[in-house]
Amino acid sequence: METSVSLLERIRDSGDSADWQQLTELYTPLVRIWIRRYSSSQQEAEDVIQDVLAVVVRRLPDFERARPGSFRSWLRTITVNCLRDSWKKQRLRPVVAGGSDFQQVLEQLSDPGSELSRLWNDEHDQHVLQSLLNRIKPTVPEPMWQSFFRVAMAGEAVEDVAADLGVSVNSIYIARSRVMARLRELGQGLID
Amino acid sequence: MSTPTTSHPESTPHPEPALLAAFLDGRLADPQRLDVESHVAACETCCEAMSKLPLDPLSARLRDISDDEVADSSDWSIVTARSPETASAPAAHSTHSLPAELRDHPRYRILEPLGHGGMGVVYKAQHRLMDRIVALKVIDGRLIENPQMIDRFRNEVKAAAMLTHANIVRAYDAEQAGSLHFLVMEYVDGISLAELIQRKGPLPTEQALGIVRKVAHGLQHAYQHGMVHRDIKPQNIMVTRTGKVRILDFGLARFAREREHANVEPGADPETVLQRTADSLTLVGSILGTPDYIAPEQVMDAHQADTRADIYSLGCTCYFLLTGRPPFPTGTTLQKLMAHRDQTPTSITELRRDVPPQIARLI
Repeated sequence: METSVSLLERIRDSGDSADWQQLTELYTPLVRIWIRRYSSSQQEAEDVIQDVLAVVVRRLPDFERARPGSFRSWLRTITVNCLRDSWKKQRLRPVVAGGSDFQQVLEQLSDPGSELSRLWNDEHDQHVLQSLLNRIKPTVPEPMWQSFFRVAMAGEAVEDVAADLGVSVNSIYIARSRVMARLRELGQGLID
Repeated sequence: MSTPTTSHPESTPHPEPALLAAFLDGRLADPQRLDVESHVAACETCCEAMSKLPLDPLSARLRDISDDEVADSSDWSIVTARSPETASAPAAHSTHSLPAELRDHPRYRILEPLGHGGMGVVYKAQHRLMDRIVALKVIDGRLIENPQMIDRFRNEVKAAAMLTHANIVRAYDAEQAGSLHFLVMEYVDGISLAELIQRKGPLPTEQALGIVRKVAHGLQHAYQHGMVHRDIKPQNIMVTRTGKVRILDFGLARFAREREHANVEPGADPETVLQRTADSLTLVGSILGTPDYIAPEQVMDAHQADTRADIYSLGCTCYFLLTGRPPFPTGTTLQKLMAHRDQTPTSITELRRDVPPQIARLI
């Protein structure tokens, strides 16, 4: 059987512990950042993070990607539910700056259209893209990476990069296409 | 990079624009992607067509990745861990200047002094239990004189600790040891932009704008959390060997900057405000440095100044990166403050021939 390149599909198909590990490594930093923002102690935060990951592992088989952005919304919902639970069970003493109270934070995070949820989306996408690119970088030849990075990420003109690297314009477009294809494969279901 | 030229452009029809777009953005699955690839490898017409395609959403988002851990083509080799002068400094004023309160701190083990930053001495330290390397900034006692100020300090740091962004130095905690107040923050192995320019001279335009862009991302994140910095300047922005860019002193800067206006009564006429602010800045100038990057509206009323004042300061910083000097390098504190309000600085193109006029105008 051919192994899928997509992390989500691999987990769905075989549930290999290495794949789970990858998924956890991918998402723990993001979840940690959000939970740390509202918790007064590091230990409490770590407990909530473990709760979130446990739910992700348990529920992932039922997760259905309905439309773009489904996964990040799903994860946001789990995170806000775990935050609420821990708070109610007094395992989390929340800290909130700027005069708003924790209840309000939870409400905002539960509402997909709120500003806080938009912020979640932005940070999620940025974090996941960053992590996936970090993973892809060592697997592609350096010149191909340079072509991709300078054109697709740094936004330099294709002609300039081609002249600078001493390669054809055609090969710059091809490099970009290849890395983008890998990025989409690896992040299928996670990024849109 | 290998570019297979198995097929000839004339032998296969040009892919439709939609197919080319899918190819460029990595949306084609493999057999099909390879077909288009071998055509593109030898077809100038299709390259021309692709240069005109709009960015798809994922590609657009790639431009927004502000963290630069992935790669950066600029040369950052100049940013070695420590400059020769400061490397010898720790030995020179080793343990005798280390405050007693920090010498046997229960949680932190002081490793070495990193230098005298804005507002106090900074030490590299290790969290005894977690092994984490952090930077401790001991706040100059003159900035924290009474309980209200201690509270304000703590609140500012607490608010700043909410900020987590690739371009902002993470603040972890505000701590007290005896009468000493210090801030625990992320340790950044790098140098400030001020040091960078001192070592390297004015930067290439592309590199300077790259830095400014990253700082702007950090400011945007802070703005979304309702935070302003109030003291954006080259001394408060760090770069690392890999080209990461981090803003220092969020919260702390605002706390200290507001202190400058403590003796200005509300409703005073503009000239009085300017004079008082100048007096006050001169007074604490030794702590915070000169007002080379301050926005005019911030001089007049620090409490009203918002993110736009930070953007103004970032503009002045950009000027410095490109020319090696601040926009108004000469004069007394008062004269500089007035210059920010009333004058136009020397155009960048006069100081640097190679900066495109469009960029110079922007700054």
